[in-house]
Order: sequence, then structure tokens, then C-alpha cells
Amino acid sequence: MSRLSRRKLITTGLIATAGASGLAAAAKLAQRYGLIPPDGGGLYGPGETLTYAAQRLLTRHSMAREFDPNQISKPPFANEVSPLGDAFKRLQEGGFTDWRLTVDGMAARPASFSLGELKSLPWRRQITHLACEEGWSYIAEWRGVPLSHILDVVGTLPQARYVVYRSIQPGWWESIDMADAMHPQTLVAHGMNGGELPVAFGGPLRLRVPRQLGYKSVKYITRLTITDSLKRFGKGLGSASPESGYAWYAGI
Amino acid sequence: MRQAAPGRSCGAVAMVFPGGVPASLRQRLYGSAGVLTGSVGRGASGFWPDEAIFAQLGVDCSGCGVGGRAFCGRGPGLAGGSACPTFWRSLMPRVHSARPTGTISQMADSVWGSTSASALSDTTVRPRHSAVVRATHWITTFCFLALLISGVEILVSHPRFYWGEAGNVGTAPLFKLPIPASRATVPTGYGYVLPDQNGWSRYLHFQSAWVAVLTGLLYVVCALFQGHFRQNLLPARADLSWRGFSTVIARHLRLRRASDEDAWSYNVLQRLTYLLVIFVLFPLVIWTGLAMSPAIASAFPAAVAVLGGQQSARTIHFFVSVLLVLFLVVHVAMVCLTGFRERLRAMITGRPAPDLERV
Repeated sequence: MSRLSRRKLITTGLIATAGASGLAAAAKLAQRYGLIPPDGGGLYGPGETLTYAAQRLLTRHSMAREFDPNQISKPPFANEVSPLGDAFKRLQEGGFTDWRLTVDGMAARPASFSLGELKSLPWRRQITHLACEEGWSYIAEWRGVPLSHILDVVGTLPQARYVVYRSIQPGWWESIDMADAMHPQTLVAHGMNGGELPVAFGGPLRLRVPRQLGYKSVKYITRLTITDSLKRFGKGLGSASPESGYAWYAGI
Repeated sequence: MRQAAPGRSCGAVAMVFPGGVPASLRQRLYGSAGVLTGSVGRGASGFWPDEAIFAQLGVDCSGCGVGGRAFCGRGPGLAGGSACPTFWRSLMPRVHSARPTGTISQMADSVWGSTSASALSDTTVRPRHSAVVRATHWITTFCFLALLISGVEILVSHPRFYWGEAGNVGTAPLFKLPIPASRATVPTGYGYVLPDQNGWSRYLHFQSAWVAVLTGLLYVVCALFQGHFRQNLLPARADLSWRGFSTVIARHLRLRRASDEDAWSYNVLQRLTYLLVIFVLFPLVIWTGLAMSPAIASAFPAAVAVLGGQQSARTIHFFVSVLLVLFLVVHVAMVCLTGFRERLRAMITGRPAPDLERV
């Protein structure tokens, strides 16, 4: 063959080498700056990593859109939940006075808050969009304690990277990174549309993560765990969602 | 030595001038370096700059009718340029009757001598579609099918559409699709619920979208460098006339089989359709897709507001996808009608036909 095919071969080889080393360097940088999601392995790992890394670079400090009161959806839509367990029903009969939120893990002062104590903490009110991965959505007013305030109260250690949160309903747990955990709009919500948070919408206590899809806003939360690694939780994929086939990061 | 496909420049020109190309013409064709120079094909700046060269080659432009004048300015579309049909129509019989004894490239070598042979065979025996176009075409095809399948799966979890920011089963829909859903909460009228496929569908949708977007960027950057848009996709001014359109539309309506020159160049309808898909539909489907992301909406609220809200973005995303599927159907149908093997071969190997002798 002519010289040209050799030149092409060398060029292609150089481009391939540059591409491969570029990818390796990018992977190393992504690892270093925490841009790889806990479900970043496997068949769809590259796509998930690109989405999470790109959104972290673009949206780390961005504020979810807030709406006017006249834009609140009437009525909002409460998605189905599996039948509420005995533990929930017992607390419900007592008017949730015994409902507690335990905060443990990488905290200088682990604590447990009753519902009343949480409601006496400084709260924030915001009208945001809740979008479900299925395609529907609603706008509602949410009232609650910023998660960042609770994390400050318990003295979160500097090596903390994620906050794991669990529902009283068995097997329902999620986690978010510190960018979302410390975000001013991430609320431990106890009120909705001017009243108490209805049970159908996650009352008495729901984590609201407005910059991610609805399934990250877990209902009936009872425990927060601050951690530097998600490996020890469940199958190590970050939350229950990847274990049932859904992405850990739900910013899209 | 690669064999030339029919009607490529060096071979065809060699047929017309068996005794060698006149020095003056050769200079104008290939520049002093003996290599194709200048922009090709469109208008007066190409290396087929004027009617004189057509006349020297003995090409009669008077019967063409494109643009309503003798010289349309398109040239023969060498090296991927926009082909003038009349040029090839008048040249083809000569190429066929020449009964070549060797390959076209060998004949070209004998005309121009061996020093420029490698440059010529590389520059002039250009494929119908460049390697970048072929590679990005098939990657995009693969991604589009993955996006389509996963998109349909995501859609069936809520086959209702709204306008504005928010919408759910408690809201009046803009319209709903008469299909069953994969969620029991959606009233569809069907007595059953499809299995939930959203998990892997969303993973696959976004991964394919990444590959498609990066491939699209590679395509656009390379196409700008190679002059692909200018040469192959921007219609010639002469074709943008009522007459240019009516000629092509009439040919389609009469179901006239595509001629040889159509294998080497896009007609005006193809050009406008591809430009619409590349520069309107693809960007719009990416934009509306991103506008549905709550995180992207927080960082770029204006990108959502312009569309009318996140539910509007979802509805537009659906309609643009329908248009893209429509394009796919017509595109594949036209490939089948105009010569499935040739067109497919051109998009895989770059050459519509295996070699000259078999045409």
C-alpha cells in the first residue's frame, strides 16, 4: 500500500492514544473532585458519570426556580406509596408527637429531634416544582428546616461527602452529596401549601430536594446519616433506587 | 492502487482528454502544485470557475435548465462538491465507451505522471461520503434507535401532555395518547398496566443522548473544517428558485428513478431536509430534553421560560421526536426506492459502486 495509508495509520494511532490518555486523565480528575456517582460503574456508568459531572460543574450553586403563589397546582398530585406499616400507624395515632429524626454518622454532636423541636428551628418557605421521572409534575409551597441548618447544629465533620436518609417505610432510603445537602433549598419539610404536610405528600416529615426529581424527596424520614462513603450502605450503589434500576443522581 | 468509482475527476477527465490535459486547463484544474486547490463546486470561486472550462470539456449546458440559464455555476461536484447533473449526463457516455484497459487511477497516472499520482489518487478519488460523515452517521443511527426505544418506554409511564410549567392527572391535559400506561395512577381506560421499564430506559436514554451529542459536535466541527455544509448541504442559489424546486418536485412526483449523478450529490429537497434536521430538529430536541431537567432548569431558567415551562418542553420534545421519526421513515424509504445497495454501500465504504467496470 502507499505511504498515505501508513500516515493515516500513524495519525489514527496518535489520535487514539491522545483520546485514551485524555479519558484516563479525565477519569482521574473526576475521581479527585468527586464527580463520579456511586452508581458510576457498569453498562450505563459512563453516561451517568457524564451527567452527574456536567451537572455538578454547571449547577453546584444554582437555585431551583421559585414560583408565585398563583402558580401553585390545584390540586397537587400525591403519588402512590406502598401501604403504610405498623410503625407509621402507631405514631400517626399519637398525632406524630413521638416522631423523631435521628442524625448520626460523621457528626461532632449526633442528635435526635422530635417533630416539635424541628418545628421550632428556623424554617424556610419556598414555592417549587416537583417533577416525577414519569413525566408529571406539580408546584407547591413547602415549609421546612434547611438540611444545612441541621447539619450545622450536629457539627458535620469536614470529611463528610454524603447524607443518607431513610424512611420509616422499610427499604426506602436515598442519599445526596454535600452540594445538595448544604444547598439552601434542600429542606426537611414539615409544612405544605400553608398547612401541615399531609400524609399523602410525605407528612409528617419529608426531605425536599428541589433540584432533583421527586423520587429523591423521600417521604416519612426518621434518620439522617452523614458519611464519607456510600459503600457500606445497601449494595453500595448510593441508595435503594439503583438497586431497583433507577439512577442515583436524579438531576435530569 | 484504489479503483476509481465512475465519474470521478481524474478518470473522467482522462477519458475526455486521452492524449493528456492541456497545460492551461491542468493549471486551472489542479493549481501549480498538481493538487486540487480552492473551494469546490459552488459558484464562481471553485476550480471549475467558468463556462469556458465546460466548453473546453465539450459539455453542453444549454439543455440543463437549472436556474434557467446555460451555466448554473455548480460544476461537476468533484471532491464532494455539488454536482451539476448535465455535466455528468453529457460525460457519462464517453466514460462508458472508453473501455478502459487499466483502472481509472492508472490512466490518470499516465496522464499526469507518477509524481503527482499519490496526491491525485488521494485527493481526487474522494469517497461519496467522507469517513467522518460515514462514522457519525452510523453512530447517530445507533443512538437514535436507542433514544427512540427508551423514549417510548419513558413516555408510556405517563402518556398525557400538558402546556405550561406543571401538569398531572389532576390537570386537564393538552392531549393524551390512546395507549395503555405503565403506571396504575394514570387513567387510560385500559384494564391493565404495562410493566415499568423506566429505570433502564432513563439510563439508556441519557447515555445515548451523550454519545449522540458528542458525535454531533464532532460532526459539526469536522464538517466546518472540511467545508461539508458549504459543499454538500447548502443549496446552490440557482436551486433555490421556484424552477429549481419544481424540477425536483416534479421528478419525485413522477417517481422517476434517481439518475447516476444523484448518487454523487444531494438534490435541493435533500439539502434543505438535512439542514433542517441538523440545525433545527436536533438542537431543539436536545434543548427541550435539557429543559426538563430540574438541575438544568435551576442553572438556566431562561431556557425553560422561553419554551413556556417544563411541561411545554416535554410536549415540544415529543413533537420534535415525532418529526425526527417521520424523517427517519422517509429517509429509509427514499434509500430503498433509489437503490438500497448503492446508497448503503456509499454510506459504509464511501463508494456507491464497487468499481467502474461493473456499472
